[in-house]
Amino acid sequence: MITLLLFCFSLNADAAGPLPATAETVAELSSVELPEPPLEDPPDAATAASRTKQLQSDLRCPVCQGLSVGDSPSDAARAMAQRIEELVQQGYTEDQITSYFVERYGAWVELEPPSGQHQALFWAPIGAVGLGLLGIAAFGRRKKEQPSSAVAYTPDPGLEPWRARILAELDGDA
Amino acid sequence: MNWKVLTAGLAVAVPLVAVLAAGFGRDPKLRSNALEGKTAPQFSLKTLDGDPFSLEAAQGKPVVINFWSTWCQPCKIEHPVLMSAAETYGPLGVHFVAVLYQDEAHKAQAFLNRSGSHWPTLEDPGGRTAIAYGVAGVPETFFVDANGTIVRKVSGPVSQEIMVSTLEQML
Repeated sequence: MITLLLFCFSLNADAAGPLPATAETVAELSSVELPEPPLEDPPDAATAASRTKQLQSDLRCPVCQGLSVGDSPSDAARAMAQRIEELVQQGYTEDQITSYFVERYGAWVELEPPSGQHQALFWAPIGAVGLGLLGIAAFGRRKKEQPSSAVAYTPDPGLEPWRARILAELDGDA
Repeated sequence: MNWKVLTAGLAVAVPLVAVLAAGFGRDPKLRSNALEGKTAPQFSLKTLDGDPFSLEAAQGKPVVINFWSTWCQPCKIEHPVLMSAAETYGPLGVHFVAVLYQDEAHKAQAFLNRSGSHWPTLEDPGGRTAIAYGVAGVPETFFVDANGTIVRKVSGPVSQEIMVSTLEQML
C-alpha cells in the first residue's frame, strides 16, 4: 500500500500537465472561504514578489522529501506556490499565510519550526542529561570535601603493640 | 558496585532511551490531521457537468468529502467502498462529494462513466480547496458531521470498516 501511495506521489511530482494558472480563471470557477480578512493593503509588486519568494522558501512541499514549495517542481507545490502568491497579493501578512498553512498541514509544513514551539521535546532530554551530570558532579564534589575525621577510626587490637612501640620510639627520638 | 558510574550511565541513557522510544512509536512520514475537530472550510466549486456546488448547501447533513485522481491507483481501489457507502448511507441523509485533485476533467469523467458514481465530482482549479483542506496526497477523505465539523480525516484509501464505523458514529 505504501508503495502504491508513493507511486501516486511520484506520478504527481512528474506530471507535466499545466495547472489552470491565472488568478482570474480560478476566481471565476471556484471560491474557498478564508478564515480572516487580510491585515494589510495589497503590497506593491516588488514587496509582493519578495514576500512570495520568502514564503515559498519557508514552507515545505507536501509531497516531497525536504524540499520547499519554491524548490519543488511537483504540481502540488506549484499549486501551493500559486496560492501563496494570491494571498500575498491580497494583503495577507507572512504570519497570516504561514498560520493558514500550519492550521491545515500542521507545524510540519514549516521547514524550520518556530522557536519556542515544539522545541521542548528536543531540549527536555538534553536538559535532563545535563541536570543528571550536574547532580553527579555535585555529589562527587561533596564526597571529596568531607573531612577525614568524619570517618571513625577503629584501631585494630592486633596492631596496638606495634603502635605503642612506634610511639615510644618517636618519644625517644624527641 | 560503582554507584557513581551507574548513576551517570542512567542519567545519560534514560532520557535518550525515552526520546528514542517516543520516536520509534510513530511514523516520521505521518502528518498530523490538523483539521480534525475544526470546522470544515467552506467552498463553492463546479461539478464536471458545470453545475455549481457549495458545501454550504449540505449544511445540517453529514458529508463525506473525497479527494482523488485518476492517476492514483489507491483511489481506484477505494472507489467500490465509496460506491457501496453512497448506496447505503446516501438514502439516510449522508452527502458524498468528490474533489478532483491535480487531474483533468475528461479523464475523471471517463473513469466515472466506466466505474459509476453516486455523487458529484468537483473540479478544483488551482487546487485551492485541496490546500484549504491540507491535502498532501490522494486519496484523502474527510468526514464532516451535521454541525460542519471535520470528525475524521483518512489519508489513503478508506476501508469498508472505517467507512461504516465512521458513518455510523456520525448518524
